[in-house]
Amino acid sequence: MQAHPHMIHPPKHLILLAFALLTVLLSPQSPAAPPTEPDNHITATLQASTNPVPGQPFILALTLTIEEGWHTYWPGINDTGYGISLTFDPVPGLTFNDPVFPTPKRHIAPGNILDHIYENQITIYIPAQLDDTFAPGDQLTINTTIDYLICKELCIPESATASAALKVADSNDPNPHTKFLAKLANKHPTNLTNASPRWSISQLQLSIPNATHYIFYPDNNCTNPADLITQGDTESHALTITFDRRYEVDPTTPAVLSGRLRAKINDTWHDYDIDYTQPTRTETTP
Amino acid sequence: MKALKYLVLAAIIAIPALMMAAASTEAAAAAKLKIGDTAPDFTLTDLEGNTHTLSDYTKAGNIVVLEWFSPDCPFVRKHYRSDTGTMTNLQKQFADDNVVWIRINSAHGKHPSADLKHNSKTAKSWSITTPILMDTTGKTGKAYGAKRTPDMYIINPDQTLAYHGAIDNRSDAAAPGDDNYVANALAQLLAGESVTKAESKPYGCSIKYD
Repeated sequence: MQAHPHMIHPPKHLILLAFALLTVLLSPQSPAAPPTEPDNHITATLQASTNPVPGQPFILALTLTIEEGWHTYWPGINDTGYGISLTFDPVPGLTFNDPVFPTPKRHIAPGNILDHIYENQITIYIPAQLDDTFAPGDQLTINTTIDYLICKELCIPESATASAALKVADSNDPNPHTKFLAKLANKHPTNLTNASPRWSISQLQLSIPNATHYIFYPDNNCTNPADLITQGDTESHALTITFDRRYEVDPTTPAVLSGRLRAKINDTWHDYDIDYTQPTRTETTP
Repeated sequence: MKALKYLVLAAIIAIPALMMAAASTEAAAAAKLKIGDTAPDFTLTDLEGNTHTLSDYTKAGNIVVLEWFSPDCPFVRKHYRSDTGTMTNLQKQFADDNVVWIRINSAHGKHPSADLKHNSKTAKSWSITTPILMDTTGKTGKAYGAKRTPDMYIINPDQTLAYHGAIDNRSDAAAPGDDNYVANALAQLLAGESVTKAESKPYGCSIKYD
């Protein structure tokens, strides 16, 4: 039985990312917004990979600086809390694609409570594109609102904002931010192409050649894993995730394994975005 | 002397193993609590120092709602605001139907959420008139597999588990949902029907176990 793997973010997004990386590796800086909401436990800044060029993709980087000792949540499956959500003010002619969150940290608290959290500082990448209605020299302001739950001894729902003021460039003068792009190239998860998924009725086993350790972080599209504490972090040649369908209205629908996978291959960690859907009966019948 | 060395060595090996076994047994017990299972009995003390035993309530023919509670969790608070009052209104709605509503706070004793005065003050300001039971060892919470506040359990008069999960269908901290699972379950139980949605995925803050 073979699944049909494909990325969480459509290939279009990868193309956008790759295009931005290839086309804008050459010079200084795009403007960053100052921190907001002085009482918040997170400050946010928004930067762009380049001054945007009409008709071309670029990347926004939202950096969240989290107060020491506090944590916030991965926007996927957690036992508690809720994940960071972003809302961009609409700008006619500007499109935002799905944000790419960094790989979180597993946090297991007494009582078998597993959360996927962020501490210290993280950067979220958002692929974006201007259409041709913009002209070089136009001014563009991008505003985003970040909603999150921040916890230490107690939990507090907070909201922060960040802005970036950009000048639309022509294709000869995109004014890229090289440091930013170098960081992006190192951190961005990639597509997983050489894994072998094996489905059974209630679980998926996934193996990557030469991988010896797997850590899985399910997103919100993933079917609820039954025992993520044990199965989600395994030093083994295969990742096995069993599903818990108790909460579903229709547990007969195909299960989905999707989220971020971190795999140790030849002693080096690699991050992948994965999205596997259980084949239907007709697909599996020989 | 040699025997003593072996004894120490055996203890070094055995003690962590026994601790791990105990922990996994506890986790397994919690994981095994399923709809229809007998709910673990407990005796806990409320904010005034009175003891309460689950089986005293069930043997008296009551349906018991257990709400894992924290005075500081925004997911709990959203159900006690003056504009929502989800929990207290629901409690009142079923109070004449032999439904007993018990709140349990399983935060460890040194956590600010377990402070008795803080809980009493919160109970007063949130119009909570029935006991808040303190489970500072976490033994009861772990026996039920409770992980969050609020985490809701409904126990039948025969002390079997009838419902476990969220209070409703909206898992953020902003506002209650429009489908209250506990209200639905109680209405079905009181009508002599089986509970259509007997399990849902709970949401909320983590319980601060020791």
